[in-house]
Amino acid sequence: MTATTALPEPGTAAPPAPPPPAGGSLTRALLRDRTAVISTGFLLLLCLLALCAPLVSQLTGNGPYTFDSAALDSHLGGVPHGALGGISAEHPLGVEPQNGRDILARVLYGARVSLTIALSSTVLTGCLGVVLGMTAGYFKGWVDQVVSRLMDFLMSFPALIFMIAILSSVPSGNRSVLLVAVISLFGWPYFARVIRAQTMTLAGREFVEAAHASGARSAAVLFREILPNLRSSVIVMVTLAVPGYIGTEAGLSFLGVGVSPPTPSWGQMISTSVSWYAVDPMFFVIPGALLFSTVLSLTVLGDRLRAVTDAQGAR
Amino acid sequence: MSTPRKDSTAGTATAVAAATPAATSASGGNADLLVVEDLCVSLPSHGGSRQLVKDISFTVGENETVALVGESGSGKSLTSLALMGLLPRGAGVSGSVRLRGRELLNLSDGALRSVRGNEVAMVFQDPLSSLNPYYTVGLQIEEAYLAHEKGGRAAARRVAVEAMERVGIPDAARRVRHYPHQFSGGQRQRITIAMALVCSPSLLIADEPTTALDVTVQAEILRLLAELQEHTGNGMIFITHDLAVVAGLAQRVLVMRSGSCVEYAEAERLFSDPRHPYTSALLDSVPRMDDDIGDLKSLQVPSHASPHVPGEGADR
Amino acid sequence: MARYLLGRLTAVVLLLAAICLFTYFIFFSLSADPAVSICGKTCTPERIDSIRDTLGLNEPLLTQFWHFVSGLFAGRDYGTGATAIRCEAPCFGYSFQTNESVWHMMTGRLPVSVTVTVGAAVLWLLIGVGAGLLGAVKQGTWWDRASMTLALGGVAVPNYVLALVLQYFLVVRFQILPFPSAVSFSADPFLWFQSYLMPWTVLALVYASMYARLTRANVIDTLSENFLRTARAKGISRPLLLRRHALRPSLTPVVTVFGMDFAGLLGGALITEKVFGLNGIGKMAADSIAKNDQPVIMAVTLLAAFFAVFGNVIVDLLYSALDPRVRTTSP
Repeated sequence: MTATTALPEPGTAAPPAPPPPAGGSLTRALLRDRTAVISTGFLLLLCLLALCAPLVSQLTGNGPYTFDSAALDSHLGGVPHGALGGISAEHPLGVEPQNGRDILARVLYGARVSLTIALSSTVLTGCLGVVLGMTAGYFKGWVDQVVSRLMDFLMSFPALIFMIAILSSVPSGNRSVLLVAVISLFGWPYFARVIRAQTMTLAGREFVEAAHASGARSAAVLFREILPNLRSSVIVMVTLAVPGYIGTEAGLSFLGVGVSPPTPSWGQMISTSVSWYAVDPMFFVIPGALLFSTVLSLTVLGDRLRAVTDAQGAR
Repeated sequence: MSTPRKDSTAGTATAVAAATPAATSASGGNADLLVVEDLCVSLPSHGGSRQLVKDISFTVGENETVALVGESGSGKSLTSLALMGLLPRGAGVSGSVRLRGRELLNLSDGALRSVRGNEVAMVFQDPLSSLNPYYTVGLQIEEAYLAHEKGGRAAARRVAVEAMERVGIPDAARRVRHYPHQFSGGQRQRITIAMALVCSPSLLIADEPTTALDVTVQAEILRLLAELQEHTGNGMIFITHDLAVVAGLAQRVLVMRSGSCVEYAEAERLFSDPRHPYTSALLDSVPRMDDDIGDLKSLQVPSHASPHVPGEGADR
Repeated sequence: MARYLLGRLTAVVLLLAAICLFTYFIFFSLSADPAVSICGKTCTPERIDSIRDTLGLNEPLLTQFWHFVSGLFAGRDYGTGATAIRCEAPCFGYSFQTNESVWHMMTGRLPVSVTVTVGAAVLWLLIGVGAGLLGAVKQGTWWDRASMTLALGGVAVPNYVLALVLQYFLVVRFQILPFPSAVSFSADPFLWFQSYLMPWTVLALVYASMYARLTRANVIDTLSENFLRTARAKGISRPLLLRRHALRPSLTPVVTVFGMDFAGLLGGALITEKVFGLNGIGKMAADSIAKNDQPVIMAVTLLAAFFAVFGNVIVDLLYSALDPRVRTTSP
């Protein structure tokens, strides 16, 4: 992995930084944990299916937007034919009431949307948080003042209300990009706060002072000495941020300000299913269960990762 | 030290055997306060269990000080925790620990609690972390008193103030209401000593009590411990990694390494005529006034066990 | 201490002013024409003109902002003459869609939000902290493992999913509870309790799970502290040891987190209120967002920010009351 980044520049007198937990041993420790393996397996399967969504809908012959009125019982107000929300050979997970769209296709295309938004938000949040947090913690002084006040400012906003308000007052445009931007705007301070505190402790450590004494430039110290030591906390925070953002995206879509229809999204499907759940509970159960298991798997994984890195840090 | 010798377990065993009789007679006419025989401690690790203290035997008389000396991880702190019954859950102990003839190792939790702090008290290494930051020092001293004595709050407060005066905290009546962080390092250690002495224990275990302190403060604390002992006649087990500290303080010294006893002898003899190479190595590593600067020696005796012992948090 | 408080208060006022400014400009610059959105769906060009005039939208943005701020303290009049609408201080604006002053709307709905939040907070503190303490003391037992697995699951359930599941089983399927409605306590205490039971549970679950994990981790950390060993060495009893030496250090961080969470929810438990149709601040926010009723959105944002900022101040004060190290070192 990237273990080499932890080594000091050749030729400088800086003593080597304490090695961060090596990527290899992290993986090995996780592989020993059954729940972590199951969670990872589920997530990999989900990602694979989401990637292959077009292939899957070709196989079943149902696109995410194709209506299938034949699968619906028009006498009962558009409830799917058959038990369990119209599960059949053609529609393995049934169909949506009223319009008969294939739930499997919609759920998989929805996964693409949800995961893309969550991952992009995490990347953007992580980058902003790490860079700003490190800068604030390392340079201190007025830089720290500015960044800290900005963090106070953003963190005292009622993020959810504000996100909804912004999303609803912006007339149109690319909803996904807007979602990522809004989530990241309110998300980075939570990263930066942790990174800032850790950078401050690291900056006082001997190996950083030694790097300074040997004439390394600030940028070099930041990226060669400090960043590698932040790696394990960044990994943990990222793993825990992804389920959070999946939940946020689903929540916003549930409230009707997220991804706009007909583009499928889990939150939106759950939202639509509200008016049907008395007659067609499966329509609610499938996206609900999928959302729950995805968030749970990621949370479990993050939790185990933290336990492993904590144990390694304590040694 | 320049010629490292293979240090086998058999060698260690003979050293113990040779040292023990001499040491027992050294306690003279004093009644033995504490007798430790073949004490073994093991802690669970990775599925199995590891023996971290092996067959330690020694005795402490009234008004007598025995030093346990060794590098960090040598098992000396574990030994003292075992005497107090303070080992972490899952630890295995065997052997015998008798205080005034009473076996401590098979006591019930309740009976052991009435011994702890009452007959045997302990002073720990880091005075800041061993005091609870959320409560006044007064309350923490009173607590030790109230756990064993049938006095009221007012009596406990009086005892606490007295104890603080005895260990040399000026203005004790006012200072009992202060919190640990409002005291200096040396004063904090004085307070933990006051806490330990509040029930007049017959045995005091001091686990590296001076390690976390400045050199001048170290000397003060050592003097205080010696004075208090002179006054109350308690026995003391003094645990340290620093042989120099022991010199004027202990009557007998037990040198430990990797959980085993390396040498157990009267202090005078140990300093003048160390029998075991490890002891001489330890002695050589103590800087002296007549040493050339730049000639500080590090311990270079072959190690047959990892010095890294999990579970002995007090040393790190 | 007085100087510290004064400094703190100044910072709070500045922060609130900044939030106010930011919110104002975002909301009144993002949407195409505030007058159109205020006017609503049934709108004529004349009405738009009159609204623009009434609101002073033809003036520069900064002047408008000044009107808004002065309205907060002195109240303001919309329009002139006989048709003028008086908005008493504190004037957070006037909703032309509901024909009500926003302050009036908010104060009318705050009790519902407070009821939801307080009830949920009691639940999650009892369950979360209780389960965490038990888990830590009985570390490694089946109880510990079961409660921590549940807590991990609880963090992962989105609250609207839980709300729908509960509603399906308790209201629709087995009809154990009535559909929630904002009954007042004095009208029918039992119905009141039944109505709020589901919202409380739904809101409390996520927090209870987080608090259980937090409490457990804190207690376990504290149990390995050196001062706990010292206390054991004194020979004090286990109940006293846990109650005095383990509890306070481990619960102090929980109290501070609680302060922030509680303050955050006072500004409206948006999703819970919306799903259960409870007429609180959160639902008001959701509704006005749907209708694009900007004065209301603006006011709710400010109210929530106000709670968050003051929650922060109260947490700091609480912290210094609970932790003597902070108390005596703060200037």
